Amino acid sequence: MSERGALLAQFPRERTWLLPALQAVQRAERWLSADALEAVAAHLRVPASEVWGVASHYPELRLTRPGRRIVRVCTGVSCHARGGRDLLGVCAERLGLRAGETTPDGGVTLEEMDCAFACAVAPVVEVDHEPRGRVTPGDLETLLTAPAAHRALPAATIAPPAQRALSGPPTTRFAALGREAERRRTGARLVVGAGTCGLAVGARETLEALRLEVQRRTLPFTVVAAGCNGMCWAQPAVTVVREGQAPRVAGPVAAGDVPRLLDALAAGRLSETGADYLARQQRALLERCGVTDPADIADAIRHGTYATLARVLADGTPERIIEQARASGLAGRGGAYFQAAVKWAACRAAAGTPKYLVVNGEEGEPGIFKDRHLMEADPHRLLEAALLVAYAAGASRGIVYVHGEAELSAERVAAAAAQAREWGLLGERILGSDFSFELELRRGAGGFVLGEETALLESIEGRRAMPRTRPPFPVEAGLWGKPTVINNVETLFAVPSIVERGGAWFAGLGGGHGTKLFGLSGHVNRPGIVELPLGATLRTLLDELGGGSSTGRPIRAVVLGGPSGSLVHARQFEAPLVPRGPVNPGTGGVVALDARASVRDAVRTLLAFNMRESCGKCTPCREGTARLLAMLDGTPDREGVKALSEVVQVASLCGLGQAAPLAVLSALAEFPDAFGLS
Amino acid sequence: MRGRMKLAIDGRAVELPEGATVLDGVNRLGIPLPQLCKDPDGAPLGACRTCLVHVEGQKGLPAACHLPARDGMVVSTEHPDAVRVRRGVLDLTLSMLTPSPERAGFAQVGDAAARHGLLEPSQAPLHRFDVDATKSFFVLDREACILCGRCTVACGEVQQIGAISLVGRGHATRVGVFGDGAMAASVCTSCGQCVATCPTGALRPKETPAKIVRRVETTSARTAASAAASRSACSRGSRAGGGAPFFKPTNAWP
Ligand SMILES: Cc1cc2nc3c(=O)[nH]c(=O)nc-3n(C[C@H](O)[C@H](O)[C@H](O)COP(=O)(O)O)c2cc1C
Ligand code: SF4
Ligand code: SF4
Ligand code: FES
Ligand code: FES
Repeated sequence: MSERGALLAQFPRERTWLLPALQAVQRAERWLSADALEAVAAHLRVPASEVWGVASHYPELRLTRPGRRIVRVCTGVSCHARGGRDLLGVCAERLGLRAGETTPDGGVTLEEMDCAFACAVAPVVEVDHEPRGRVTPGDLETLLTAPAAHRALPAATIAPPAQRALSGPPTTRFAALGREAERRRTGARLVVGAGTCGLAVGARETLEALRLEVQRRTLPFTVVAAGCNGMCWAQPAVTVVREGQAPRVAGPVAAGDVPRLLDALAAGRLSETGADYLARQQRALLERCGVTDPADIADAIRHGTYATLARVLADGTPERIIEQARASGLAGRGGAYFQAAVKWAACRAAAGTPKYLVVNGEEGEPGIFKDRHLMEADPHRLLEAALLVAYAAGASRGIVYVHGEAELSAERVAAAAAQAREWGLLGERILGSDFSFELELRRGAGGFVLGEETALLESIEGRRAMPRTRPPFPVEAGLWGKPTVINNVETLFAVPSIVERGGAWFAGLGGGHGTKLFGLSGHVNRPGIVELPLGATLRTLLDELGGGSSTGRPIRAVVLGGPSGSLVHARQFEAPLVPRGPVNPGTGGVVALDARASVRDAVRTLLAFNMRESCGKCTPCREGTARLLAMLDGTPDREGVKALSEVVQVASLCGLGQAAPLAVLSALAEFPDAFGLS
Repeated sequence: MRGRMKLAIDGRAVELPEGATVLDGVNRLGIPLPQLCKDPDGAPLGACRTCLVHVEGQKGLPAACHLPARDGMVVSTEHPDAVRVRRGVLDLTLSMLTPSPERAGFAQVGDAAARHGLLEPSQAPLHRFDVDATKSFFVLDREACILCGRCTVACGEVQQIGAISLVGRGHATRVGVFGDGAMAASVCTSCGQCVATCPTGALRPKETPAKIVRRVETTSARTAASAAASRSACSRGSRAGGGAPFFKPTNAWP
């Protein structure tokens, strides 16, 4: 059998495997030739034209052969603010290419990116899908010419538990796992922030240097590759974790700084970085991010993960989870703020089996990178949350759907799931209870609209990511027509603590709304991820956490909530960020723009993004966004823009179109001078 | 009477059975509401956004084709907000099309636009296409296509052929075949279902004026298709193609 044939033979001949099969072939062959598409069509018995329809729909699928090296420069709003466009210019000149072109010898392809989802280390350039952050024009020569090394972190092997309690209630069985985890405890740890952001600015080198130097000096430390604690600005950061002491963070620590760091540590005069950054937050969801080892289930268990699950399974009261969530007021962090408990109860009550839980880890909205932080840093918490929600909603099957380029998130969630399965925390009769749950990982293939819940279901079924009409809602008829709960990663992250500490605890934060993650980027000194109670203000986010403007010029505007959000004027920086309030936090993307940044450029970038990302299904969005962009490129007349915007907002089928004109409308209202209007 | 609902649409009473949509009520009363992407025998697609109505006590302007009718609902197709936004959508729709004599007013689109006082689109089309006349009996004329998607559903889901599909994304979306090739190179069997359902005459019989396309829609050629389509109406369950989906065994992470 040909290599391709063998690859395809792994996939059952069902349409649902269309995207995974296309992705597998592309991984092996670097692109999808007509030949390859026909082979996929024949194997899956999907009509060739429909395979073409799907392959031509997803931006990450390549229908033309790329160069041997692919250079992608991010020109999203955050990277643009930090010089991304200049980097693109330098690359274009150096390579003699325009974005989208390949050198005649097939050596290099140059592309422009909408967002590399590492906005906190902007500007970002990717070479062969390996992101580099804080890139300066001077770095490009090496970046463009150095041999592309594959740079996967060495995978940890975590031994399965030596003994498992094979009888008794879930709590007894879990106690045995807890003892096993305790036996594996090591002493003090040096934890390196090896999330996407850290790795993009040298965490791998820091990690290697630290391992070598600790070994050389025979120091009593274990070196751990963790996720980011939210201090992207301090990456690569090293956190010192000692039993019974508060973790202390130092950063940035480049590989060359490692000896000095260890000297300081030995002398007991480690200079701590950004303690106030952590202290000013209320970190519930982030509590273990950057501290726990994402690759070790024993460490997760020592930090308390899965204990709530064990107790709930022992009690056998799934309804209590729904009650606590209802009391907590927890509302969807995917941006729509829909009450989580309402969905779960509806799914539980709906007829049909099996029921599904879909974890939405697609996160394709430029300017926000919170779900990636959570998945990379604390994947076991996501699994515990998914198990709790599945138990509550009566779901027996789950899919974690991770963005196609969020490699690290996918790797860590997959590894965590494999461990959980070995430890009896996933699969048949979890912890000996009558609750069984199977989980599978799927990857997206690009496109903002893919994160829209019904488009995501379509893609799992092997179709173009075009949203469905509602009703029926997914909780009644979702994946393959079965009741399906879809929740955002951040929404799920709140669940274990809510069940553990009670709904009232969460509702007590943020005036009934709980805490929310925000992603700070653009012109701030300390870009990163923070967690604050909703009701916080942009002023707090920008000044107290973000450390104020990075350029010395005042921050004049914020892009809040990415391309579905709005441009917020400085005079609204004191307004509380409340869902459905006058300043809606959306997904929590906060991109600061200083007084010199062009509001018009930002708006154009956002609108052009929405236009390209329109799935093409419905007329107002597909046609209207293109016409709006044309208006913006001319001299926009306010009434004309408003009239067309109304049509796009009111008539569009899904949230993409409905929100697409917001940035333009808010900018016209708040920054008329940017458009030559008064 | 159990399971029947009374609604008022444009001030007229109408009674509908359980499971009906507001569009069913509109059509029962013979109110001329545009419904370009709704095949009378198929499930709603929600793509054209021209069936927008106003519902008392409800925010926004829902699309009547996938709005379940409820007892006591007060619906207006003539509410000024609904007319204004619908007209805007029709303008965007009409602006996709390139007029020509063979295109004969774009059938349902032309009628709907005219009824909203739109004789000319406000903008020129974004794309130009050649007519695909490679099939013996009909043409695919993309300059008359509004991307309602009806033909692809008729071909793929009703006839289970899949010769055509929506291709690409954003405003570069088009109706096409594998590799953006010619219709004749596809597995098209010339069953004519796509031609029968096309609301604009973009798919039209050769040498036949587009106007006739609308008569074709009412002929018995559609009955087989109707039966299949109505099975799937209002139910996503049918999307699985009948059988339960295969579920990947554990430990498999492709
Ligand atoms: C254009 C568009 C993109 C979206 N992208 C995402 C996404 O990337 N991740 C996500 O969780 N929700 C996204 N959503 C929201 C989902 O449709 C859905 O509301 C959410 O996943 C439900 O989970 P929640 O209730 O926990 O927020 C998107 C919605 C739209 C309209
Ligand atoms: S609003 Fe845009 S993205 Fe959403 S269904 Fe319509 S065309 Fe697709
Ligand atoms: S060819 Fe006709 S039926 Fe097909 S999408 Fe275009 S307008 Fe609709
Ligand atoms: S990484 Fe460049 S804008 Fe997000
Ligand atoms: S007929 Fe309702 S959206 Fe097209």
